[in-house]
Amino acid sequence: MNQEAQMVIVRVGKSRFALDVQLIREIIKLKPITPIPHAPGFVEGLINLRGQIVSVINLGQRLSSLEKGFEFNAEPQPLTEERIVVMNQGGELIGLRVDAVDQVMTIDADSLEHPDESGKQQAQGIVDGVFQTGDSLVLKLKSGLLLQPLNQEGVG
Amino acid sequence: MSSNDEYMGLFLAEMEEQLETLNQCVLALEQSDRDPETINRLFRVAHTLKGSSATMGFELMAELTHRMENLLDDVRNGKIEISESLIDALFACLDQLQSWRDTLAGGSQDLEPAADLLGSLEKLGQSSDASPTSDMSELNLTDTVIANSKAFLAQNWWVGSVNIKIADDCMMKGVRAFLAYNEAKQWGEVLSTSPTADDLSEGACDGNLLMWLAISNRDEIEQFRASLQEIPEITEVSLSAWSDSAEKQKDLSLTAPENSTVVHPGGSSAKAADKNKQSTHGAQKATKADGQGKVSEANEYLRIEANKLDDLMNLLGELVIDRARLTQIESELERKYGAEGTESLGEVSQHISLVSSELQECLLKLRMSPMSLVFGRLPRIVRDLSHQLGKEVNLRLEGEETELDRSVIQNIFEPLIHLIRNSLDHGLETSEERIAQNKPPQGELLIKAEQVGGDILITVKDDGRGIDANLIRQTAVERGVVSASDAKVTSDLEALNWIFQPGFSTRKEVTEVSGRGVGMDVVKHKVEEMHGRIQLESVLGSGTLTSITLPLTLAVIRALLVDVGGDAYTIPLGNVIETLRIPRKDVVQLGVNQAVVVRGKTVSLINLLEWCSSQTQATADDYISIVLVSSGVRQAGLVVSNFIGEQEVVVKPLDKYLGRLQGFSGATLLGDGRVSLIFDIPALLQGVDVFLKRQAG
Repeated sequence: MNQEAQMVIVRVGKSRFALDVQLIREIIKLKPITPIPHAPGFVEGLINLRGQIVSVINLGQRLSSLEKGFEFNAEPQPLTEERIVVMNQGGELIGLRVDAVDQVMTIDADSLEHPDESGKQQAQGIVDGVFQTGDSLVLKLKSGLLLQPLNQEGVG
Repeated sequence: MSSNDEYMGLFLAEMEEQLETLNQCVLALEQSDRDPETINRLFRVAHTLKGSSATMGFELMAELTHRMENLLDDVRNGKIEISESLIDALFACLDQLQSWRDTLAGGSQDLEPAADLLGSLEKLGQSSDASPTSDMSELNLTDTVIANSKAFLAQNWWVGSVNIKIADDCMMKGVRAFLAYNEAKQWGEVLSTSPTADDLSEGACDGNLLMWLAISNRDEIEQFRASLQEIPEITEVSLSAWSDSAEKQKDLSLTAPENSTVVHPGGSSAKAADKNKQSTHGAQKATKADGQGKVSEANEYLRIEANKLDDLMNLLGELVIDRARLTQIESELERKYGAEGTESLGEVSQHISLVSSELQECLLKLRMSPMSLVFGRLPRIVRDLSHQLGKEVNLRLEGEETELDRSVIQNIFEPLIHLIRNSLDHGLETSEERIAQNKPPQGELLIKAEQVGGDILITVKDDGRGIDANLIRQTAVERGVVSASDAKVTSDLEALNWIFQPGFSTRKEVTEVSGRGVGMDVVKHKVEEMHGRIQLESVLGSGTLTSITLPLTLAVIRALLVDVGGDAYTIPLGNVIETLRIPRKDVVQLGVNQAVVVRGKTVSLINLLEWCSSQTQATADDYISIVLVSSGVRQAGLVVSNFIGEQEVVVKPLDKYLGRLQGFSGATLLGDGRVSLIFDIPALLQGVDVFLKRQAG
């Protein structure tokens, strides 16, 4: 599996996460979000994306809810450029609210470590792999799990 | 199978249509329709289905349709009488085909053989003269031939079949047949022959010649017959006119009493059946011929995937928003540069507004489908149910041309069937019971669709035993739906509508038809999902009327926009009774609930500010704004921050990610581009009870 993959690196607090560029439809600036009463806490609400109604979830809170005990450094950073990363999962659009979008980078599959090999994380449930860039660690997220419809868990 | 897969969707879609046509035709036959065209149509459709199923490799289907074809052939030739057992056998075939189709549609290719059915078809076939001699069936009456025949009929030509028998001991049957064929050509147009014209010219004939022809002068028919009989060794010439039956029916239609379809599911045993047949016979024939009841001709349609229309609708939504933006930019520029500089932009923007409005209208029309898509399936279902229950039912359908949004058409079928089942099972009495009560032995069931203003009204009416409001009151108290004192003061109409409450059934026994558990609450729920309302009226002893009111289209609904803590929410106008401004001091505390008294009636309040933000917000305002809403039985006052106004909104579904949201049915986009959630009032009113209790505990 000596393949290269393009990743978008997003930031939530001090933590950095990688998302497969192929699943991203577009990245937009934060816009007014209509809240949904009685929805789970990580659901930010709905936005109007050129006539289409798209749900937006808070990436950080969603990760915490998926992986109990998973701690990422969420302390607010002064220089945030909040964005909504619109993901396309089989035609369904879902927005991820993040503190910032850092960069797009090409990653060699070889440089991707399996999380349990690295031994530094307990987040196997939500993380596909880990890699080092510069001086920080980036977690590649399991997008399938992240974008899985909420029906099964029940809303409210 | 991969190459077949491409065609599978098309095959299944076609088959569905074919089955519907077949069902219609068999029903028509059962209503003593003897129009040869009905049988020809049955035959043609079965034949097409045979061909396509054989092409797809479904041998079982091809075999069954082949047998059907043979049987229909015998019917067409008059070898088999149209009997109850024949009709039942044909219906059984259609059911079998439908079940196979459903299996295929489910992705499986394992079709269960239907040996019993084939056997019973065989039996029916054997009762007839088995010799496959030339007859009507041998004629290849293609669509072209039929069309031509009709054209000739329209010009007052004689159209029909001529059956010629040549003496058995004739040595040159082929020559005699060819002579007769040539003779016939002198008198008019020979449209089809058996044996075929090619075979005839080669002298092939076994002693029977059948011709389908049109003769220009009706008065010359006898002369034509005589000229054929002059040909040596021709023993028999029989003519049968195609036009006769059709014309008789045309005459009868002048006395047709009303514009409706009549189904007479011929009761098997009751004495009343014979009596009835006489009284309704005329009406059946008449209504059949006036176009309404006649087996409806399949229109030519372009088949479009429904999803594509939805995509188009979404695109249009984007266009509408851009249109608003364009107008905004125009006025901004106008302010900056004056009207002259932006004149041409103004023209363009206005034109775009116009075009997009028209586009929206067209698209909404595209989504409309006629009610006949639903009504077409009802006669068959009513027939089966009434047979099953041993009841005599005269089903009348009115307004099948009424158009509804396709999503309504898709969703109305189930609740409608439920109401029909209720009427047949609980409402209508048996013939004996009816006679004892001086009612006509045959029960009446009327299903009607009509447009009333911006709504569609669908009514199901029977003249059965009706519903006893006191029995409902009693049951409601037993089930703890209402208190005994409340039940006493409730009007009959209101009490009757309690049967839409979950788990409410006054029928003690469970029947095969109505089943158990699923009650009227399911019907109500379905109707409300379509933003509709349902109401029931009944007069004890003389019948029940259930009315369903639905919005014309689900894509656009009229709604009241309200402000709740700075966010705009949408309430379907169908649920809104009125809006009120009430002094805060008039709010009374009823246990954990707050309530107000509106015209002597106590209405519980739901504070949307609390419900939406889960926190109490103290407002200094001396007045509170209340939207009085109803979901049929339940009423409540919704406390909002402010009323914004009434407008038409385009309903957008919520994405699959969130699944079903508590209290909301969808969302819409407002003029400023914001998203507004649309309240699902029935669900909200149900959910609120839970919410209040949770607060209390």
